[in-house]
Amino acid sequence: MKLSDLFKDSHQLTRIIILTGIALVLVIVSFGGYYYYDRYVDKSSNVSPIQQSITDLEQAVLENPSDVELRLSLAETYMTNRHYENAIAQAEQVYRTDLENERALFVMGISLASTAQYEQAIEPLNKFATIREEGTMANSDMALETALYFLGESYLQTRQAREAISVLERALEINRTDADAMYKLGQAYAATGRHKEALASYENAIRFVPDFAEVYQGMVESFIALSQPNRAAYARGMLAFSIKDYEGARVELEQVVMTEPDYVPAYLGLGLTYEQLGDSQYALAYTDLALQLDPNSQAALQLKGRLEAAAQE
Amino acid sequence: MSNDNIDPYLENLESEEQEESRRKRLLVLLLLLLLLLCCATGLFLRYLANPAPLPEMIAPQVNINYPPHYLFSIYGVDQPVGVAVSPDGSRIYVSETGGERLVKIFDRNSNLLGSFAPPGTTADDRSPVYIAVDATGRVFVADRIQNAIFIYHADGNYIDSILGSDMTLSKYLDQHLSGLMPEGTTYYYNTRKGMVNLTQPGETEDQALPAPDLTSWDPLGVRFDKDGNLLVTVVTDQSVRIFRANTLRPDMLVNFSGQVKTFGSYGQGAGQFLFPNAAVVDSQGRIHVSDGNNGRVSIWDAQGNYLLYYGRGTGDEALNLPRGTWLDNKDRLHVTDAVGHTVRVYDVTGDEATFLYKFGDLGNTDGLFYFPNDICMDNAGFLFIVDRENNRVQVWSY
Repeated sequence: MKLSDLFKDSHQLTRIIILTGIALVLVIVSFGGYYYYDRYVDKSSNVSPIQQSITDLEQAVLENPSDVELRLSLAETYMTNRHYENAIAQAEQVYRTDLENERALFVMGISLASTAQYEQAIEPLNKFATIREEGTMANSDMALETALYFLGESYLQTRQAREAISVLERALEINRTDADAMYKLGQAYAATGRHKEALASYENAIRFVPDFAEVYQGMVESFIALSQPNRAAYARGMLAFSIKDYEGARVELEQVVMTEPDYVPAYLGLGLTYEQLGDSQYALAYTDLALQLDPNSQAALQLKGRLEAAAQE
Repeated sequence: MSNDNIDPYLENLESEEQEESRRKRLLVLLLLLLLLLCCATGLFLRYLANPAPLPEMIAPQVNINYPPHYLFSIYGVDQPVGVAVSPDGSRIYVSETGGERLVKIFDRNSNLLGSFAPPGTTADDRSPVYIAVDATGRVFVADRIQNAIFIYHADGNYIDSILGSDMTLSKYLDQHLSGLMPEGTTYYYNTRKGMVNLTQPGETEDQALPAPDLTSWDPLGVRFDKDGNLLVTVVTDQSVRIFRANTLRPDMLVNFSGQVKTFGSYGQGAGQFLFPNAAVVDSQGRIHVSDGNNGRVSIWDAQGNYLLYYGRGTGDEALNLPRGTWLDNKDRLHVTDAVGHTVRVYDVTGDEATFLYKFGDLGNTDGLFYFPNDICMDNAGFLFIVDRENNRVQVWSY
């Protein structure tokens, strides 16, 4: 049969088409498979040290299922690496046999709170805090402080703001520099309508973390609740500054100093904003205004020193 | 002719017409399938010869922008800060600032092939940072303690050191030996010991020479452009210096002429730097410099005139602490943002840079970063990103 005859017979043609189609599918599947293997499959010969330690601990727990210490180590490793569901499962195994086990309570509480299971997190965290409060080193116990922070967060999320205030205040007695706890405490005060205390707590937080955007957002809400629109504008300006929207910050803060010309933080905010906008003359002028109103402002003195040093170079 | 005779004839004619029409349709279908088969086979063969992301193979002229995906990590490095890939993509060089402070060589499957360091130094004497590999496979490593750029063969054997804009160690020795340095002489220089050591062929004991002056030379970032010119960022005077490719030829190092172009100075203003980290050249010949402590990338023309900067502003496009950068063949600038714990990508084909996307975030699991410091890409579109505090190099793919 000649090649040309193949194309005259529709049955033969159909057969060739089917064969060609099969060949096409084979090529596409081969290419797709190879492409996927080359670009999506991990061909490396090593595993991460984290994964290795988890694998080793899992193996050890399989071999010694009744070893509580090993199981707790595995639970803590899971928690540290944010495998919260696995951490909860392991800690629960220990908790069932030992209701007072501190490590199990800690892992369960933190992992439950970290996965937004706030209702369930309260009990283990409360138990853990009660046990640790009896310790002689309770006032410097950082694990207790962490548990109290998460307990405060859990109370806050379950609309128990008064309880949240109590535990967050205690957390701050242990660690006076925990800006996150200060922020949460501010939120808890705000939730109970105590906006003046909320603002004091927020101001403490930004003393430690000056670009804490969420804190400025909290300040905006509290200033509005206290009917202080100009201060709310200041907080909005600093919120813009903290997310690097310097032009937005400049507009808000200049409006603030026009309506409240003796508000030092706004001048300082403008000094910082103009520094970031690269206009050192304006930055220096606003910093000087801040220092005229408050010659002892450490933040303004620092900014002035920085600006003068930059000008000399 | 009776009607009885006409009907079968007409029926036969109709059937032949239908068969012909069907045959034509089948032929068209066959041609179409053959065409598709040829395209698919061609694409597959092309991929095997020159792997590249599929969209770039199918439509190379069209700018399709999409973020890469995480593939795997290379472990076994201690606080890595620099990364480079050999021209054929088979070797990955990683510099460490922790542990023994070595440059380690890995293959593509993350197997350790070897390591190297400046001769005559201990871990305390050295701190390799950025790495660049030239078209012939030589490895250039900037060292922050030794104030030098060390040049090695692809396997890590030491060749020479660049000790200033117009000085190499071989040139320095040649000058001291009045041009009579015998072939086969081995030498090294340890800044901290303040001594140059050389061993001439046939001799067993080192000969010591006074140290060269390196006070105005503190290299940090090293990158090659497509013509083989070496761009070096220098901390001493916060500048970028460009060494022409011909001055870096192996036979020219002993007569290193230092044909250098320099731009930039210390400061926060336009056209100034605070710790320039990496300088790369785009397809228009413009130079993009990651200006670390100023939190921006500045653009300069080929003559070294300042044009503009980008990376300041709001949201995802804003840089915090830009460190190592890499420009791909589509003029997409990849910037590691060490404090932002991410990689930000800008399209620099136009007069001004346009932010495209970022990838990665803070963390220690797959695809998350903890102080990423440098990035490079191989010809197949695989990205290698040093993840300093997670002690690994992450491999991503387009």
